[in-house]
Amino acid sequence: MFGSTGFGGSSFMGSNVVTAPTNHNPMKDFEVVSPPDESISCLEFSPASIPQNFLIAGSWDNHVRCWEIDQTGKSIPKSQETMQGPVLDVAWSDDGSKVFMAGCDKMAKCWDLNSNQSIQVAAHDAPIKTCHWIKSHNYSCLMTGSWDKTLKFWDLRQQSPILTINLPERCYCADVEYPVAVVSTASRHLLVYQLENTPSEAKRIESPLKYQHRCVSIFKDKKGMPTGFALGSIEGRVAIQYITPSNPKDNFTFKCHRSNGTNQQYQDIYAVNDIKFHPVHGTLATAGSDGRFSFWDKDSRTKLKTSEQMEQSITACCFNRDGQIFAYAVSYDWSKGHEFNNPQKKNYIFLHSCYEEMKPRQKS
Amino acid sequence: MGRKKKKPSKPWCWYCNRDFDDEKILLQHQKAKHFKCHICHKKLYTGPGLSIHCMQVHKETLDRVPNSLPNRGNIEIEIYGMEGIPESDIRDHEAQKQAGRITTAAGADSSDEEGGSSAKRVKTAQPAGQESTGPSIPSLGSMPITPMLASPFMGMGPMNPYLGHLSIPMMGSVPQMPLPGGAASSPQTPSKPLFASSSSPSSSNSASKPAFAAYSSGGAAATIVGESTVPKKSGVIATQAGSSKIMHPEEDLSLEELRARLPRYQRNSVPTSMPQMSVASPQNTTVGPVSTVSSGQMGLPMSHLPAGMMIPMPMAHMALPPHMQMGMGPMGLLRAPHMHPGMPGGFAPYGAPLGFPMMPPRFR
Repeated sequence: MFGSTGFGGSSFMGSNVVTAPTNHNPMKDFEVVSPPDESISCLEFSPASIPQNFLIAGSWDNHVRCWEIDQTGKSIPKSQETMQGPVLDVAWSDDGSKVFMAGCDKMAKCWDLNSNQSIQVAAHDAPIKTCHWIKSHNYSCLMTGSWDKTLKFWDLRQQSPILTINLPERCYCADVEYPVAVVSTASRHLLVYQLENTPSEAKRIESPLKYQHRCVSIFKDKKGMPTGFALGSIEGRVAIQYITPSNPKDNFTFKCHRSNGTNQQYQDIYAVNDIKFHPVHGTLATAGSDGRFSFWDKDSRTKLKTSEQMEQSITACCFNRDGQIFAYAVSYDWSKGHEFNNPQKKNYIFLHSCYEEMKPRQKS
Repeated sequence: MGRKKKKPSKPWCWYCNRDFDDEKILLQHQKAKHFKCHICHKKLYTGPGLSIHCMQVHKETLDRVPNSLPNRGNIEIEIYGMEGIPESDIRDHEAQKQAGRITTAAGADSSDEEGGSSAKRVKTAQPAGQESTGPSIPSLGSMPITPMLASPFMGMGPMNPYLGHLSIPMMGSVPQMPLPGGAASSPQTPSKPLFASSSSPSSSNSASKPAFAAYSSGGAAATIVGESTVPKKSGVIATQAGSSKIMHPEEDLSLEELRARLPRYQRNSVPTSMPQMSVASPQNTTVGPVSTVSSGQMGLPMSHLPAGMMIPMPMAHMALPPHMQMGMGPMGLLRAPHMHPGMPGGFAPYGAPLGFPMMPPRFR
């Protein structure tokens, strides 16, 4: 049976029973060493301002880990920081010297990597779901979105937020590409903010999706200006939405992360856990609760590739600064409730070489 | 375009109720989805045609049209584009369009090809489906609005009165946005009915001061407020629809919220207000799972750094001498000299619990 699995995945089971893949690394990607013991909630590579590649991962085990990834794909654990509750989001400062982390302990911390010290920089009334660093010409701040239905902006030197914006519902996901921020909340609210001078709401968009929003990522036009975003829901669907479309038909949605297409009666629909855009090609990657990741070209509206299936869902993904490496985390996302949480199952972070695969398709 | 095309009414597919921009696309859709033989993939022209083909060529009887709604699967009715649709169904369809039905979503919507890799370069009508056409926008808006309104009020009620104050006017203005007939208003939405954009930051600002003061005056209040923002009675997601199932728990909470409810992730009853140097309850052994890690050093209460509290005194907890490798045994954890008086408990060097080799953290 060696050839049959297509990947030469050695299923030594000797029977024809098709069960979950026994191969934990079906894409034969580089495996990051010392992964977290609990699910990985967020992954971020260091920005272009520093030459090396550092990968940060936040986990439900309360830790934020940092590895250096070298040219050969080898990962070297560097250090680790701890929160008082599960970590839900991490972010890098623009100069790559600090890492921000936020989570269920309702705080956000700033970890200075050079001095290896951390301080609290934000507080909310409920877990903080998103944190993003904003760098503008006249100000810099940390934006935190929380389940307490507020969006707060923090100057790291002050203990009170410099701005608080009320959200209609709990913040579920957000993204920042200066001068635009997009925030989505429970009940499928979608808010766009402009960040020049001082953040203010620019518009609210009616959701193009019918189910709970889960992840959002802003994309830019050819000139590098943020022009729209990709929004993923729990219903295996992604919407590509332009903030001000020149033509309403520019906006569209596509289905993804579903099992067994149309010729079968029964279809399983999985959540889209994360979406990220390639920093060079502008194509996008989606990470699914079904344990696969896919690459897409939104301009030619085609799928570039779908991965093999991992042993657990893919909970987070990110590209490194030059778009050579696609990192994705395989861990349980709770999509089947707590009964299916298996603490014995190992969590993984893989590094996939993606530059060629993510090149856009020529328009036919 | 097509002959006898009725401009006012958009072509729609009788088998699956989808709308299309023009009849040509509708026909392509029908041929690909409803009149395609599942055995040899030959595209026929009509339902009866397909049935005859299957009988003659494959000796197989077909009893329903592939990918059709339950009540529209009759293979004997001859439909070609918009022709052949029974009067009563036309009337039904018009009526439904007025009433603004929520479209059949996951189940019948199997006609989208994933990612749209079709060489035909089908125009946006296909992927956009019903979502972007005029008539269905109000339906999208009106349905979810009502539950939306209900829950924020529920959530706001017991909460911080100051925040509640601010939110009520906002909530009141929400329904203006996506109402039917206001479908046209979505382009107008930029801040007009909701926020005069210039005043919104200031109004949020002024409200945030009392809000902040209110909760920071009592740590306990802050926690209670935090818990009640997640509505106790959450809605339900329709995860099962026809022949497909969304792999998501039925409660309309995000996966992270569901997971965070577990007691093991909640041991963070730490007052979150930053100005206070309150002693964080050190018993917050948030790291239950970590303690099971094989390095077996967990005799200690792993009180994770209430470093958060210390804005004026950045915790030097991380600046541990490099020789403090893992496998140092439990003693590795207690580096008393680094502990500030009043700092509760021992603290975990970040590398320790997870066998994370501690490289000297040098980032430059």
